[in-house]
Amino acid sequence: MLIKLTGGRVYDPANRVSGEVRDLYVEDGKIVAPKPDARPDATYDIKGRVVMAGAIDPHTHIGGGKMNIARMLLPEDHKGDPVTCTELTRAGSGHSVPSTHITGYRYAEMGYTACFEPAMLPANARQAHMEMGDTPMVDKGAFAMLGSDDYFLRQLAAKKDFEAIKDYVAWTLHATQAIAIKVVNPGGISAFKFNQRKLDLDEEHVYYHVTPRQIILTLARAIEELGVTHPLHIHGCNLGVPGNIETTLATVKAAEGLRVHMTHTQFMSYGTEGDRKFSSGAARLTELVSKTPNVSIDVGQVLFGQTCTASGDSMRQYAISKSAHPKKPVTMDIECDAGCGVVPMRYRDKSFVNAMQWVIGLETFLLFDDPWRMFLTTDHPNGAPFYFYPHLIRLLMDKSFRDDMLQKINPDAQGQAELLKSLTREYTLDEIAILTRAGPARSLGLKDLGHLGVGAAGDITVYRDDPNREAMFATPELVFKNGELVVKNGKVVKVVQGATHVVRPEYDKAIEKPLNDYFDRYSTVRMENFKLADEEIIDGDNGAIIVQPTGARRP
Amino acid sequence: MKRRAIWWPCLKRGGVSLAEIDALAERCRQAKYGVVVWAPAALKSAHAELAIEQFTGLVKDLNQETRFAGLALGGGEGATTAAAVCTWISGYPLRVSYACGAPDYDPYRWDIGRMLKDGEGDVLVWTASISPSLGPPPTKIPAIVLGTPGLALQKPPAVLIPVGTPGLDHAGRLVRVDTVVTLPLKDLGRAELPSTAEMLSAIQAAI
Repeated sequence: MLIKLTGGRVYDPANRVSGEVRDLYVEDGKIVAPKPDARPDATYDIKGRVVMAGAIDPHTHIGGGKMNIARMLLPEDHKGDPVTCTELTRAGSGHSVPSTHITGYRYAEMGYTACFEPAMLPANARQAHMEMGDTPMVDKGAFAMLGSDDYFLRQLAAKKDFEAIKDYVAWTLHATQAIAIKVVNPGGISAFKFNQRKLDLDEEHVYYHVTPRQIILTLARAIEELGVTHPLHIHGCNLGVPGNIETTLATVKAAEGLRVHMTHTQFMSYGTEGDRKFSSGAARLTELVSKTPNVSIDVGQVLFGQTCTASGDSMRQYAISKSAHPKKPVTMDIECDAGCGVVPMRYRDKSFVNAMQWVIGLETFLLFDDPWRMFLTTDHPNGAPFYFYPHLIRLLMDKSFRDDMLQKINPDAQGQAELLKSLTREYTLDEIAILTRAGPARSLGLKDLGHLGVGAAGDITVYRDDPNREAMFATPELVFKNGELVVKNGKVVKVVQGATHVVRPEYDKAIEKPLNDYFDRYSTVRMENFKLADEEIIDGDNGAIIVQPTGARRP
Repeated sequence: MKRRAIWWPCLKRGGVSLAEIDALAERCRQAKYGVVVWAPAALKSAHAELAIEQFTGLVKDLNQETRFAGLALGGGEGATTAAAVCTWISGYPLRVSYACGAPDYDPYRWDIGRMLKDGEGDVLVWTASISPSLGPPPTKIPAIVLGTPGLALQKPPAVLIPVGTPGLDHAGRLVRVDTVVTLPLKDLGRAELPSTAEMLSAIQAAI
């Protein structure tokens, strides 16, 4: 089956194509070299349209126990957004945390073809994959959380052999079918179980006597030496604490040249200046990260409205429980593993703090000069639900729209937004393509995704070139997944199932001996039952597994 | 307004002395990590959810100074799995109707026991694939039962389809009571029976 897309303006930054009019040929699900003499089975005339690879969301909370808690917690959120079944699509609901099928359809309708769950609890991996298995349309994957699990902390405290720690990290990636490793409030989720209410970068865990700095360095080095493409994905210390910009800057420096990714930096960039003792640290962060090439970031933009925060960071989620709106926070400790906190949140433009959060996120986007080291995220649903991405894109591409929105926010925040007001930068289509496809694909190590060169997957999004960028990105004209037309004019026309991307770095299977002893002695499940078999994803969820390459293990 | 005699000071609550209650509260405060465990099915009084509200309120109060958590037991017959899956597929916990095409959650209206008693519904579809004791209640309306062989039936249903048990006759996944761990259930080859899912899919295809 050969299809041809003709006349579109292609934005493919990975292959240095910027707005050239080019024909695209897709055969048997993959992009092939042009075949001008062949007779395509279908031709799409997309003259004047903007064409990009399918978008990739590298940090979106779409599956796992804490998301299901968030769903169960907020029936009123769902009642406001019921979705009726159609001939093709299933029913569902949800505004801030949609049901799984709706999540998949809506992402596809927005031109996304891959989504990654960034906080998969290893003990809960089976459920995370089941939820992702019920999320149609998009490719998916997940990052396994380590760093507050007791096995790791015991190893670190006992100064165990680093090679054994690497084996444990690799084993976890295999067992949980993950593509990367995430650390959340390093050691802090565990420390909270011991009634520690805060844990700074160089503060010792009260029981294990290890620090977040040690945890970060150990995990970051382990991942590099295992050859995993995506660096340690760090949700740092002191999330949400005024003044935490100091911790964040120290953490960037603490990486000591190791590759790391700092996530949702907006929540980590707060200063304490000004009358209200709450200010933006975005300029300081972007300045430092600009000259620290081993560090990448994603913003976690806050946008106004009702949403629900859901995070593995039980310590910090508990601390902000009082701000819950509606007033029903949930905090959970998870034995031997980590924890989570679900706090519904309403961000109001008239709230000084919320308005500053909005300003800080935008400053971060507009000041940072390397789109290849930054992703466009709202940390769905923590900053805002994912269907606000088109609105965010418009804010980045349209200075006068940004100024209009700035007029509406809390006046004291406007008073502290002189820097934002002065930023005239407008993101280009090239830069948006990097932020939303090319960059995430490269960072996650997704060979064949995020670009439109020969050999790439036939994941293609076609947009009308609308000067209202929100309308443009909200409703793509055509979306192809593996060469099949799945969305037309923003509506699903064919339901498909995406693949699950994993990495499988080498490790010494001997690690299973001490692990098995540990599981038998302490864990609530046996090691053999903890591990996810491929069949569960392939047969159980009608899926497929794509093993992305890893580099050779070092040293 | 009726005036009631107030017994003050009271020395007991529910037969337990205030001194014992104070001592228990102090033990909770001194604990480094406490857990309140309850089994919803064992709470037989009407409006037992109010008791659960008190448990969670206690846990909330104690977390201001020390660490405490609550743990609800139960989840037999795959109930925890059904609740989890229902939530991620519809957005709501159990008791969801799809009669209007979109999920409608109403734990009072869509209580099947109540619906049967109040004469609502034309046919009952009952699935019980784990233990033989989970038979359907007697109904005036026809019943279609997908049940494990030997299922306790008070009267023969209109249609009885034997189905396999996950973890014995076919593979499956079971969300455990803690809602954290999901267990992989293997096909141990006990019997050649279709799974409930296979039968329901076949029925849907035929409709």
